[in-house]
Amino acid sequence: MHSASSIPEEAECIKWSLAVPSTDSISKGSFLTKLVLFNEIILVAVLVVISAAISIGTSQFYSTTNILNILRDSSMAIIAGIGMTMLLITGEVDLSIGSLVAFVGVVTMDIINKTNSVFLGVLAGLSLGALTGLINGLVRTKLKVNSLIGTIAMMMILRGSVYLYKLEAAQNYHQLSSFYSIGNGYLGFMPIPVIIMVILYVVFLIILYRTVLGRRLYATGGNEIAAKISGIKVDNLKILTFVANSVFAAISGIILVSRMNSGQPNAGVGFELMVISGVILGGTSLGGGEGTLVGTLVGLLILRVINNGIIILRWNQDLQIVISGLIIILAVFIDNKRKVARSKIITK
Amino acid sequence: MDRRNTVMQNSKNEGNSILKRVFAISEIGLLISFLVIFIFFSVASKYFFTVRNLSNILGQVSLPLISAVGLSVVLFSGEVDISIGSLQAFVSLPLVAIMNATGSFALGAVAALATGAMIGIINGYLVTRLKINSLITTLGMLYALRGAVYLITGKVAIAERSGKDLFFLIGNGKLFHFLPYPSILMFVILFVFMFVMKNTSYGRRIYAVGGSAEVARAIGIDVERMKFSAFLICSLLATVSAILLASRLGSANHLAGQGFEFQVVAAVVLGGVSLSGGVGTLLGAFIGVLILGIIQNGLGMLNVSTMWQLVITGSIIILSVAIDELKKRHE
Amino acid sequence: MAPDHDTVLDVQRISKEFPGVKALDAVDLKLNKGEVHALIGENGAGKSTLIKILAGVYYKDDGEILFDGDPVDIATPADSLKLGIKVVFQELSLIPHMTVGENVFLESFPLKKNKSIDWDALYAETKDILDSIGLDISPKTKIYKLTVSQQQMVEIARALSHEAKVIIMDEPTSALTPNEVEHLFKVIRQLKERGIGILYVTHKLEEVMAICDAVTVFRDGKLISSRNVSETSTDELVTDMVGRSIKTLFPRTHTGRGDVILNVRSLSTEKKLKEVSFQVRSGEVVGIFGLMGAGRTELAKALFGLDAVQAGNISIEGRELKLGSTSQSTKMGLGYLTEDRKGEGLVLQMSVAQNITLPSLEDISSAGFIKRKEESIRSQEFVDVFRIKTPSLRQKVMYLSGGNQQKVLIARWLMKKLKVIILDEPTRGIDVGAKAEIHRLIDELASQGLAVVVMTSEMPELLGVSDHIIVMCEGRITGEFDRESAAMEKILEAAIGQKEYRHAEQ
Repeated sequence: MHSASSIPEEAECIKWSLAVPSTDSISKGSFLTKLVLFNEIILVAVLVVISAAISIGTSQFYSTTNILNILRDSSMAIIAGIGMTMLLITGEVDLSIGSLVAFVGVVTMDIINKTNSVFLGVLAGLSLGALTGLINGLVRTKLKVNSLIGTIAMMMILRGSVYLYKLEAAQNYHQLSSFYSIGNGYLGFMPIPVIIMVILYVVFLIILYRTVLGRRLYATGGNEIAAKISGIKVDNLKILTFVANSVFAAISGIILVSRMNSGQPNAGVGFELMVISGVILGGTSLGGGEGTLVGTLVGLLILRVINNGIIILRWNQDLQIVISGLIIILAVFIDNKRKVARSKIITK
Repeated sequence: MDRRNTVMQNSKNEGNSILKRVFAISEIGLLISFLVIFIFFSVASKYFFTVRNLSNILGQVSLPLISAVGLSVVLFSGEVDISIGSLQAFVSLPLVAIMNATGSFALGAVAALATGAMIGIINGYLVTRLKINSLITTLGMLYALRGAVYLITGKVAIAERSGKDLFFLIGNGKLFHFLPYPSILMFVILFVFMFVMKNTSYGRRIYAVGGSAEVARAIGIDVERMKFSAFLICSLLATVSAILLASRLGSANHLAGQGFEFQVVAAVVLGGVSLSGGVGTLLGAFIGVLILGIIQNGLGMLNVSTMWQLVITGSIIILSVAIDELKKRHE
Repeated sequence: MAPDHDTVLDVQRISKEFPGVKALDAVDLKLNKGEVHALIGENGAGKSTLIKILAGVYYKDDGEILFDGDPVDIATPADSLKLGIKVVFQELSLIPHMTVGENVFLESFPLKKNKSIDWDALYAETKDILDSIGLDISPKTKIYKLTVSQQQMVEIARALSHEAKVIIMDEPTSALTPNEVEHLFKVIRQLKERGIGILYVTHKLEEVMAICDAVTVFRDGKLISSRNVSETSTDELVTDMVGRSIKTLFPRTHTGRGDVILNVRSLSTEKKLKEVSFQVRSGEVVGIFGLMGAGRTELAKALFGLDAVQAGNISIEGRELKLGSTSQSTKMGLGYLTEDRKGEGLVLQMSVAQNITLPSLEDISSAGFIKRKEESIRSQEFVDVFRIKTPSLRQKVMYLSGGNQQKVLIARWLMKKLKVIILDEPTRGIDVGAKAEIHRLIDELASQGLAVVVMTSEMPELLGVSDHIIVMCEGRITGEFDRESAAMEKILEAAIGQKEYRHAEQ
């Protein structure tokens, strides 16, 4: 019952800003403590441990084919994760990307069928994504609708719209090889989706950490009013981020439709939850202003590796869902503990 | 004490215009929307405004509404619970299993409620003791429960074999051929909770906790215990919905409740319940669920495909929240 | 000292430590029945911690608390309330969407026989209490509809709703008008007569001298002195608080005033401002004074583009400013230090350097890429010159003390080549020592040629810092004074709308 020992108390003490006692800095702590504080290091450790565990269970895991499969499989989630991370950093969320993936897949395939041009099909898909993002952004900034509700509603609208557009799956009638290679091809020994992912990842890593734009994203999510006062055009930035997020989801959708070789209207169910779970596992905060792409990468990889492990260990696939659920809870729990530990060390 | 009489006197004088009193109800905007939509469908389709259909509507909205009451309590307390959909499937397992094994509906129901309570306790513990964000906790639970259902059932629905009339009736029967039993249960639960939330210390303190947990704590309110109780209530009420659902389906279905949590969230937000906590009423939540319910039903009457229904429902949600935001900014 | 039957609260050798901070070090305090006892000291001196221990929010590490002569254990807020200790916190502790009556009786609702809430009794009793403290509002009003000063009075009403033996008031007048303060003092005197002991935490030494019987000074967690108010003076108290005597709180180096930089003409907004016009020259500090609700913050927000403007125009160095756009305002050289630095000013999760450079990103970047080295160099300059206490540039701002956070914000605006800077309550909640430093910085801003607008509700600060004083009331300008002609009484008359003092020449 004593307040002194409970976790919120220590956080409270920082909140009610008692005198900062000394200039003893965190840099005086040992290298190891600094390391432990880095969210990403812990996650990488978790990834390594899980991978090792699976390798022990079956020799199939640690083979080039399997690793490449995992990477190719994860690329869709990671690409969407880049967009979602940026969106969460600005303090918003988008639950409609699953339905969008399905819609984009169907439309892309359909347009390619009709025009026999992969370029036009991809363009149509990406445009659909951009348009959806734009609407999400406007609903949030102009109509002031909370993004959770707004994108849930968009999720419904898109899911309904897919079936309205086309009731059954869009089959591949064009048989264009360039289309096939988007999802299944290789450049050297690297699957093309992985290459797309790596390029996008590196580009946006730089944008997020090195550019004015990236800094402004963090500010917008960290304290919107402070950002406004600093001259940041917060509304425009949010709209831009929504658009980017949906375009990323559209890219995933295009890769998916290439891999499945048909546009399924019921694709992507639960995709948004998986991506958000991975991003949060990676340390991005739901409140905005915090988050790293590195964390997202590792977080999503962990989820996908677990999935892969379950498949090759021939466990019941539904176990994956259960484990994902438990992992998310564990992840945030650890994150909470770490935040408190961090504040303790800094005030010493 | 004559002060008290003066106060009552004054309020009587102010409120002697019934119209004024009616317009003072904050849910009036919602009621008007409801009436407008209701009238629209009554005019647009001749099958809408029939005894049979209205009775069906009552039956259909009972399930989401019972869950909505529980979810609203959690929302009022400042948290959220999106595991209620997966819970629908999960608790139907012990329900049907026990019923099939013992032939007793009562035992099955007890088993289901116990399971639901356990889930509520786990959610409550994770959020209040381990301090894990409730969106994450219940998101994880959503996954875990659904996966568990898949694992246990092998993705095959388990039919209810005891042939209990009571079980069938509870979900499908009607009183006087008009009032579906689920709706009676719905009204009872609704009125009881409306009273509790409005007129008991417990109810008002739930709102206080959601309005500002720090303030509530400083006043001496046990914030953790209040939130814990909210999760328990939510899961129990969701279990009641689940039992009714299983009755309708005649089985424990592994797909039961998919997307349910989002529909209920959308409905109560439509009804004015705030996602940040401390704001909203059960009456509003009720109207919100009703509105979405009659839209679904009405569109079905007009032979609008389920797909269009999804699109329209989504658009209405956005519109109503936008209008609500506009109203708030004008205050 | 022998135990006193008049002593209601006897705190003995209380200590409390937090990771890295000794917040309270063997502190003693005696509160008698019917006594108003002031607790003063700089921020972080320990007064807040003691209050929270008495309120059951924190738990003491060491020491004893005696209530009415008996030792008690206060482990939770409920324990404290049961004893009869009521706290009126500084951070408003009301539930915004609930009614006044509900908030007042939140701890313990009056119940009917069937255990449901007796609303009639609740609202009747609330009305009684509100009347007794002179607050004329309906008890059914929702809190968010009240003004800040009204909310503060509701807080006090809540403390009175049950048998209180000790009432602790933490900065109770920070949001009150002089009238309301007088009323509060009347209520306090009534409470004294009822034998209630009052702990009065404040920064305002005038109030200590006016209403308190005894005063205890804290510094760095230790008890420095405890005297009767009649036996001490403000100067002595300040010296105790700071550990040194502060000669000049408001250093002004008078530089020549230049051309008119900011020209505001007939600015009106929908809700508050009515035809506000004034000018500020380069190198000049204009202090804007007004009571709560006068429209100072509205003026700041309208100038800066955060709020919409209905009529009027603003020009900077002769060029017209596009209204309603914050990015335009910053481009034209306008800076705004908000009243609420944590809520509206700082991005708490970002570092010192990142906060300082936030509006100036274009200046330290090329082709959209931030030049890290330049960012470090520029921010380090400010940290050095302003003596911002921080372990490193990368330290997250949320870990700094209030005074240092304010310095970061001022550094932020100084980094931009500003022409005009608006400071809204720049020293609110900052201790005496840091206050002087902030005033020095304001002076520095002016001598660099900026047009400085300082909004403040603290009279001494206003008189000390301003070259030119503007008084607002209900959204209009009701008084203008030069530094020489300013007098406290005239300023107050203008502030409450009693008289208008217009300057002939601009």
